[in-house]
Amino acid sequence: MVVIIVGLLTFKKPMYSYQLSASDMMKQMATIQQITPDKAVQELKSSSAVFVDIRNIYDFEKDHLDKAINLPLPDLLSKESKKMFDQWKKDGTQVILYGNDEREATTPWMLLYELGYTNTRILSGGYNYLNGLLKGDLTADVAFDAEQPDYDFSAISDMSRQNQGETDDNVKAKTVILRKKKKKAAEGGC
Amino acid sequence: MSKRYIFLAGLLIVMSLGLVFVPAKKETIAIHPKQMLIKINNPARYLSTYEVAKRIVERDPSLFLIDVRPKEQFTIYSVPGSINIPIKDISNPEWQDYLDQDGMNIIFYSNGDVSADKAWLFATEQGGDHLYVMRGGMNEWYRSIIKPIPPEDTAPTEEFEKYAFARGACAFFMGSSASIDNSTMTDKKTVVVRKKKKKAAEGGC
Repeated sequence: MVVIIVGLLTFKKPMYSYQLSASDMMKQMATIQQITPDKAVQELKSSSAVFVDIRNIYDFEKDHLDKAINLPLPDLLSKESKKMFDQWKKDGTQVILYGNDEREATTPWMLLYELGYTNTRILSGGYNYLNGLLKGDLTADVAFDAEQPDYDFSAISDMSRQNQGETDDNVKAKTVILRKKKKKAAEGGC
Repeated sequence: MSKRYIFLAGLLIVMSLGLVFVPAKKETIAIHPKQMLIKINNPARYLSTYEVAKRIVERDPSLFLIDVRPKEQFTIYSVPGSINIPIKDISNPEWQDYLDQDGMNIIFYSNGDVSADKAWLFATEQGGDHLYVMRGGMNEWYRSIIKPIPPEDTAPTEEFEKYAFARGACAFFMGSSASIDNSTMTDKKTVVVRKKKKKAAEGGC
């Protein structure tokens, strides 16, 4: 009896709990509009949104976006961070996460979104691209859309097809038989 | 004495009624958020294109490559031996078996590494293990393996070794001298080790 009561009294709600399942997240993600660098420039001027820099403190000290808050990735779910995120969520403030490139912010953002912070977004292209845009020196190797193919991959497949020649089908058939033989050999006992 | 028991039993029944009103538990992620953050922060999941190419050339049997780009891009060109699960379909239950295979090292890749990282997070949250991301994706694959740039004369020996390897690997993948090897690699696509197969060993003494 006492155990049950003590248990009930000391029962703590977990600090974080998932609001979305992983598959719901993947389904919703396609419909979520991320922050383009152009829009981020506007947001920097209007200051209605909060920029959260998830890079380490050294990178942040070197250079960062104006008004950005530094929450290094390992501290993203700390008590202090939670207070801030809860406050922003309550106020309906848009939170823009950024790392050096888009990849650095992507998985942390997905985690935050799954935890119910649906007011968070990613800065597409990351800090490197936006910084280049602001300073007017975009180098060729900094891409805004990281998922854009940089090369003509069809050329590779053409080349390898030519090299392989027409005997390809025969070779394939042979290898299939080989594999079957291997399986038979493995079946025996001792 | 017996009165006390009746009272306790009654209390338990009343309390258990409370469970009826507890909302149905939704499908949630088993891994704790903080644990997940530690995994996100750990760069060990990234494999370089060299490491991936090396494993393909060495015929690593535990290697399982998943291309998360759209189907059209996959059919144009893909890393030999990989299968295609477009990132927008990855939550489809039919792929579940592919994302969690015992004894297999699953490597995701896309054009860059953003989509591959998303797929990695999804598979990890589903409880998968031994999941990796090919750093730099197909763009880096092209730069470092298909069309490697010769290092400068002052570069460290490592760079030269990498370049020499890439040249060899390129010949391997493009099928200039090894067309048979190449087709066996593509055949590997169909082999999916499902977990269910883990039945008791047949035969033996």
